[in-house]
Amino acid sequence: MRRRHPVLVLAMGLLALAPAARAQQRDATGREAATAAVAKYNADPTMRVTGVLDVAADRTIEGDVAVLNGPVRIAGRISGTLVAINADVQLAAGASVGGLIVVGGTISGREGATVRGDVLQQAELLRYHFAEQRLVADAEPSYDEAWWKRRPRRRPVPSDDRSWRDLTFTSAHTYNRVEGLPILAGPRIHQVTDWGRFTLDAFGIVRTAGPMAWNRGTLGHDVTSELQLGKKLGLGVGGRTFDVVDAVEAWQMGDAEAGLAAFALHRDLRDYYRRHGGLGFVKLHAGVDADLTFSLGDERWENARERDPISILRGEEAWRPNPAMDEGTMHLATTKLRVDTRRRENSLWGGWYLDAEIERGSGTLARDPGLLSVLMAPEEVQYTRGFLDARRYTRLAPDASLNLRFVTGGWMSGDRLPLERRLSVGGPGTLPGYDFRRAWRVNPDVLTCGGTALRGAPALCDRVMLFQAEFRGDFHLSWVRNDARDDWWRPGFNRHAAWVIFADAGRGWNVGAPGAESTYAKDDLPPLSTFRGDIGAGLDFGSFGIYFAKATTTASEPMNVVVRVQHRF
Amino acid sequence: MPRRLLRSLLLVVVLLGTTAARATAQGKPTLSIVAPAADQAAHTGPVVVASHMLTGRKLQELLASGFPARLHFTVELWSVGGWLNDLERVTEWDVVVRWLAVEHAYEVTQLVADQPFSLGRFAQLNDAAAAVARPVRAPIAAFATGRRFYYQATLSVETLSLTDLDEVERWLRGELQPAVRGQRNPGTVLGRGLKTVATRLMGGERREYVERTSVFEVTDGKK
Repeated sequence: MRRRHPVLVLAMGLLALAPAARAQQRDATGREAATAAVAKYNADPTMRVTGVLDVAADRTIEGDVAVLNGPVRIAGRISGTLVAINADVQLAAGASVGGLIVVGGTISGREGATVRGDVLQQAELLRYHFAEQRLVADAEPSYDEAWWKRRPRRRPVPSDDRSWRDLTFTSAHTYNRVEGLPILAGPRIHQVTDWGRFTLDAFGIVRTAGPMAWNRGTLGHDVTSELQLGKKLGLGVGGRTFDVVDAVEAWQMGDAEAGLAAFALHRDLRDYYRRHGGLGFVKLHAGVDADLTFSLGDERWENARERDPISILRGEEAWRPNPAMDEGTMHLATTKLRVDTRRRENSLWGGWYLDAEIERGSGTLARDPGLLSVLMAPEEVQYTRGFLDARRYTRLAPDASLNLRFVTGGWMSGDRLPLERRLSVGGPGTLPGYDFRRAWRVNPDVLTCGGTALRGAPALCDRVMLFQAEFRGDFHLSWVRNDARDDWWRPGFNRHAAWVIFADAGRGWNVGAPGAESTYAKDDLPPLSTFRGDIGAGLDFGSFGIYFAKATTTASEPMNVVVRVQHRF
Repeated sequence: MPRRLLRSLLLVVVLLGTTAARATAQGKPTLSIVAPAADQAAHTGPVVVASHMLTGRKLQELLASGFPARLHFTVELWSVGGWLNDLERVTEWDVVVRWLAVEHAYEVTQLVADQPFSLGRFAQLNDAAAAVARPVRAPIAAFATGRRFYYQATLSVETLSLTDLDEVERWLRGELQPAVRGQRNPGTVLGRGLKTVATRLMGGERREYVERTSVFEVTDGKK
């Protein structure tokens, strides 16, 4: 073996160490690395690769190389600078690169490799686009400090800018003792133009509750068409013709939940009547957050008798009779305002929900068929009725929210309200501490205003008022499963839930000469001490919740257990 | 003890050890959020990293079966009040991972305000997971005020076909038009819907991670 001169060995060692000593890694500040990477990527001589770059140990690439997304594995040699954008770089022992710029990626194996130039690294992902085949880094998001711009628009207008048409086959999203499961079928058209859009929903209705026959008991229709001028803000003009079964008080509980209670538990928590007629409307709309609708319509109201659709439980029992309603023809002028600033059901910000309506009705009605055993002659009727459902959803902390609801409505002027427009409180959707339509335990009956004494226990109040408040706190419930160990397929829970404490207070009353029970003058409000209240607590798992509610103003009312498949409100 | 039994026991121990080692190598899914330094807090947002989010046999099986994984990120800026905290700013984005059977590659796409941005196509799941784990700076900054702030990041990971998800939601509402339009076999809609409903009721398709920064103040750093 030849002996090498010590000075030569020292010189060779210094030479070998020199490149490594020159290479300095810098965590780029600001957009230094990104700017350098983009410039290098766009330089003409640079070799550009999208996806995997694998340089074997025996391979040499002359010049600069720029890689998008990667991964990048280098065992050989790159004479120029290696640029990795949104890619991890893995250097094998013995690998050699001229310089290294990594944006949105990691570097591994540097200790065994040679990097002759500088190393620039930015950990954060780089968003970019291509313009005329050149890579352009996206502008940094603006951090606008103006206070009025801090909160972004809560609910972006959906990008529903496509025209479509199809044949729809659907249920009415509910189930009830009058119709069973209503099936809707027909064409839908959604045509977007430069000036707005045109929509048409034309459904035929088949009611599945027996006995089914080729008549209006089984068949109906619901056709709505609207011409909308302006996309985000604008004016809509439309019309609707219908022969449907409608709920008297749809505000207490959603369609799906009421339908599920009827189908599963044989408990129909609504009353129904038939509507047959048409209306025209003008709608001012502000995106999906708000709209104001004026409508004029003529329609015939008729009784809808309960039938015997199937239910899962208690199917052998009789359904609660559907109360007899006033019958006749009505001319209706309605103004509706809807404001909904909640982004979605699980709103990030909270928000407002407002549903207000004023209806002026005039026509001829045969009244009170359920109250009197004799058939009354039709009479001229004219009334004005208002309704307001206002809610505030407020997040107090990441895991806590306070939600408030105020509902009031009823007679405003004119003759007595038709039975189709009377109101009530009590039951899972309003006062869960009180059973639905079992107000005979409550004396005086301020929940249905005497309705429970009649067949089907109709709502008979001229006016109602309801306050609801709930405080929700999120928590993580894990039972049996622990997703962190990938056993999230096991039966059990591992999800966020919420505990809820709530309180409700409300009552109904009639308008008339003071003196009679539950009757107050038109300008009077009942004392708050006469309101019925409840308190309770529950667990809400999102898709369902279980609540315990106790009436506080009627000691004899037992505690109720209520299962909901949506939030309380 | 018979030699065969000993050998079997040894084999079991080795296999268990291998499995444990593999599980460790895959890493535990972790969400992290790092607030900017106090002097930068008024000019820049926090950095969010979701590591090892594609870990797990079930998740990988679903991916390989063609079910995309959707990772939905929400980052909130809260200010600390005396009694109540205030939500000041919110930003959201998604990352979708799906298996392209024809190309034999995992495609990773980031969606910000419905604008897709490709993070790449990868033959190896580990590389796709690395793309998911790229640090992202959330574009919400605190502001100079007397209050103190903290960030909260929430990540929900869903493994379900978005189309199927829409379809199931429609189905839950009673609509069957995807089948009627001929895009799906009507005969399987009900079965698939019931199966997915059962999965959703168990929460089996969804994982959620929540992380918060510590409370910080904004100092008067100039950009």
